[in-house]
Amino acid sequence: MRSVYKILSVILILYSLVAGLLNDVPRLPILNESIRNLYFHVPMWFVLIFQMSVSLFYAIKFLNHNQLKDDMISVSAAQIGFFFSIPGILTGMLWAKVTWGTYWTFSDPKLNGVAMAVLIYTAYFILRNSIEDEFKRARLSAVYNVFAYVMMMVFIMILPRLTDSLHPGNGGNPAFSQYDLNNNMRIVFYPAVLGWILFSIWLMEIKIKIASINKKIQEYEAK
Amino acid sequence: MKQSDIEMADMLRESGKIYAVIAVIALIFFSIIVYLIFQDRKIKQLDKKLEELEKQNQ
Repeated sequence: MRSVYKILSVILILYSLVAGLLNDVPRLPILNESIRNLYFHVPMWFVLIFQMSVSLFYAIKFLNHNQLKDDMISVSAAQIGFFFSIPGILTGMLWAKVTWGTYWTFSDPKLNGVAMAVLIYTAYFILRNSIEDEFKRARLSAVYNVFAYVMMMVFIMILPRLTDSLHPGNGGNPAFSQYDLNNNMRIVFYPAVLGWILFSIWLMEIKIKIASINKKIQEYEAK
Repeated sequence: MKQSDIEMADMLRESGKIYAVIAVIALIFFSIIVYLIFQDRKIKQLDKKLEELEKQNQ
C-alpha cells in the first residue's frame, strides 16, 4: 500500500508526456509550440522548492529532537532537490535559446538567483563533508540549512519580483496564471507538477534506504 | 496578428505521425521506470538481509 504514490507518480508523468504533446495550447507569438515546455521545465523547479522545504523541515526537527535519522532525511531531500535543479537549468537554457535568443542572460534576476541558490546548496554539501563527527555535522548543517533555504527563497522568489524579469509573473511580465495559462494547460500542468513531486519522493526514499544501509555497514565494521 | 498566422506544428499533428513519437517517449519512460522498480526492490532486499545478519550476530 505504501507504494501507491509511486504508481500514481508514474501515471501522472506519463499522462503529462502524452497530453502535454497532444492537447491544444494557446497560439502565442515567440513561444509557439515551445509553450509546452511549461509542462516539463517548470515542474523541475517545483520539485526543487518542495524538496528543499522537506529538507528544512527535517533540519529543524533534528535541531529539536537530536535524532540522526532526521538529519539523514534532511540531507537526502536536499540532494534530490539539488539533482532536479540540473535538468531545470538545462531545459531552461534550451527554452531561453529559442524564445529569448540566448542560453543565458545575466539581465534576468531569476537565472542569476537560481545560480546563486545552487551555489548556496553546493556549500551546504561541502560543509557536511568537512565535518567528521556525526552529531556536529548534523547540527551545523541543519543550522546552515535554515540560512540556505531563506537565501534561496530571497534569490528565486523575492528578488525576481522586485526588478524586471523575462520570466512570466515577475517584474510586470504577465504570469501564466493570469491569462496565458488557460484551463486547457492547467489540466496537464498541475498533474505534471504533482507527478514529478511524487516521483522525487520515490527517489528520496531510495536515497534514504541506501544511506541507512551504508550506516548499518559502518556500524558493523566498527564492531 | 491573426491567431492562425502564428506558426504551430499543425502539419505534424495532421499527418498523425506524432503518435509514433509519443509512443516512443512513453516506452522509454516506461522502461526506465521498470528498471527503477527493480533497483528499488534490490535495495529493499539488501536492507532486510543486513538486518537479519545483525540479528544472527547478536
